[in-house]
Amino acid sequence: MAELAMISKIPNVRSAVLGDLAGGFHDAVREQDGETIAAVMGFVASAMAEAGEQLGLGALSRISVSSEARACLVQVRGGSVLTAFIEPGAALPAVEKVIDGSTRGKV
Amino acid sequence: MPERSTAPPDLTALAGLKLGNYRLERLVGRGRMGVVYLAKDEALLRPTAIKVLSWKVAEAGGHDPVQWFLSEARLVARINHPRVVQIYGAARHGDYCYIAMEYVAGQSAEAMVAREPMASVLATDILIQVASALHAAHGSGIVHRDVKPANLLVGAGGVTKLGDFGMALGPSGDRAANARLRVGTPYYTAPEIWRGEAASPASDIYSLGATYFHLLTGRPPYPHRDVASVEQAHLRSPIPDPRELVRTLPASCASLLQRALAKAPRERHASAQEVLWDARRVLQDLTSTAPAPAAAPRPREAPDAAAAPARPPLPPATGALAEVLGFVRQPFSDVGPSEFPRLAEPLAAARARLLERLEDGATSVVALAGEDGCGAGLLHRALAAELGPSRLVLRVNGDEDTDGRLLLHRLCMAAASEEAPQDLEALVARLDGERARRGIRPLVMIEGISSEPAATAALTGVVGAALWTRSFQVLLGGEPGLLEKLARARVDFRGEQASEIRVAPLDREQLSRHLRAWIQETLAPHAPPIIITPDALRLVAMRSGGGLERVNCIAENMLVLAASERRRTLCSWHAWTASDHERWAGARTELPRRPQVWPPPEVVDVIDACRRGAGMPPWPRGASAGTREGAASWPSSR
Repeated sequence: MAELAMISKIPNVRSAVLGDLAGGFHDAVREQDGETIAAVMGFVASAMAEAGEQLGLGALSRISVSSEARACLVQVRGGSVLTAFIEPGAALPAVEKVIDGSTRGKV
Repeated sequence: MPERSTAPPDLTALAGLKLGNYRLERLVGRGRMGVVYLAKDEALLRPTAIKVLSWKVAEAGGHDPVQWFLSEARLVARINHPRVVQIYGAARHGDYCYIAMEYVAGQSAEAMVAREPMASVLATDILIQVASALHAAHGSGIVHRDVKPANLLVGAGGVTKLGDFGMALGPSGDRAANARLRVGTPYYTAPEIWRGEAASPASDIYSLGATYFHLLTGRPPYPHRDVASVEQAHLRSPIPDPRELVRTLPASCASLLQRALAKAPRERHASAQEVLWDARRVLQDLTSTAPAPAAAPRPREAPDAAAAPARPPLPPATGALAEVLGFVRQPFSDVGPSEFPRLAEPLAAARARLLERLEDGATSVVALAGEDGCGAGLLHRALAAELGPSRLVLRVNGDEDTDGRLLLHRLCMAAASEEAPQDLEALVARLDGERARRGIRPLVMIEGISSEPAATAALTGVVGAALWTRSFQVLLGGEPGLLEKLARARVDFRGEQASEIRVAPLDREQLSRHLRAWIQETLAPHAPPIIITPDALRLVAMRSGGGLERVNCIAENMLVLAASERRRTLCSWHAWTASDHERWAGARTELPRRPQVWPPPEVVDVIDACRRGAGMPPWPRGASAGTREGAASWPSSR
């Protein structure tokens, strides 16, 4: 929950949803349809985790998808799936940097 | 023990006399109440039996002879049955009272058996016919009180009719005083009559049993020379085994007699119809020189649908389901577990158990129980289609049967019986014929059984027929506890281990697998996936109670809703809104529209209850989730 609050405060993060790998919806910030997003991202994260296993990447930690207008970043930690929507899409690297810094700080 | 005639001598010399339209031709019988002539009906030109009253008997009994005589005619006239000698009329002519009745060209069973015991098949056939007649009489409230070989008239082709209702007891009050009179013929009189108790259908059944014993063996069960010894034997002696006299008789024959001749009326067959069914079973044993050919065992379907032989395709998807979501087959349509085992997985276990019981030769009655919408109806339909090629399957609905007549009517219609539309006996005969023809018992499927008492009584008759005759099997469908209900209605399961197979509701895991299997099976191979949220799954489980048919209906409607929004994700709104009783696919119905804010508080409460049951945290409320201002706009195609 704390991570959701932290990510949602990063500049250019338009909304964020916390769910799990089973697609369960736990919380959301500035997002009306968190239930659907949690389900879709849970499905995507599970599928990508499987793909990662097949490709020899090891445990999946992050997926990002971007276009010019928007980007979507999915952070997987344990069974949790945190999804952030970013506008504009070009802001994705900056947001990732903040998240990485925050994670290192925690460690 | 010869019967002494009490008819006055002059009654035997009436040949040539004309009574009404009837010209008496020759004396053909005499009995306690009078004499019987063969006469010619000069108006209709047909042979007729004329029974002329013996005045002495009537006067000695202190009764008005005309009333006494007429009452017999009136009683018989109540019974409309082809195995009861029909009454054409009754009248008084001068000094004579007479009854004109159907003449049966042939002889009495007593005369036939006087020479030697009857062939057991013929004796049993006669028993069946007389039991049928007696059942009709009892149904009209009439107790015959004098069933014996002499009163069974065997005509051409073995057609047997029950005659001489001179001792019969009707339902009317004026005859009630006669109920405890000890009448009948000692060799065939039930123990309770000897004890001075009232005659009843059960005492007729005893007499019928004693008669059958006589036909089979050539002597009554207690052939003592004096009445007192006969009485004591009826009251106390063990029931004799006819196989000690005729060794070739089957055990079922002795078993029937043990029951019919039980000392206590309540231990006998509950009705003449039960005697009839029991006798049919004996006849099966007698006529089957070799065991009936068993139906070829049906190969069980492989658990993997892909390995199964050619199967009927699912119907093609139409409308938005096909155009928007990419379904190639109609999802959640009705399929049987044998056609698509993976799709009907929840029913597969129940189907396997049902088939096992139906293929077990010892089973006559099985119940398939489950709550409304559990999928039992689907399984019934599937089984009917599956078993239909190998045996006769009658499938009827037992609901709305408030007076108990509809069930029998529906069954007779389903059997295309040419007999009377509500005649259980004719139906059983038809089913037995099918059993003999195909070498496998027909299956009668009765679903949605009504809880009306009259309906239960009708059902009891059908189930009783299956248990007694073993001519057919019954598969009952309804709410749990059906068999207990029948046992409370005094159905005698005859030692059969009756089974009630439950179609259990789907648990969450099964529900999830079921929905995914359907979508996977019916969606085009390369179509994008369709995702169902966990909260939607929990709501479907709650709304459907796990009942398969309701699950299918809700799930299909969720897809229709999603297609109308061009979405591929089914969420709690779809699960909450989709109808559980009406299929929307292909229907021109205005679909609900998603509200601006979902879920409203009252739905959140329900979702929370579902989440608690699944060990999930409550639906997110509070500052983070509640911040709707500036919420992200989200494309509708997700």
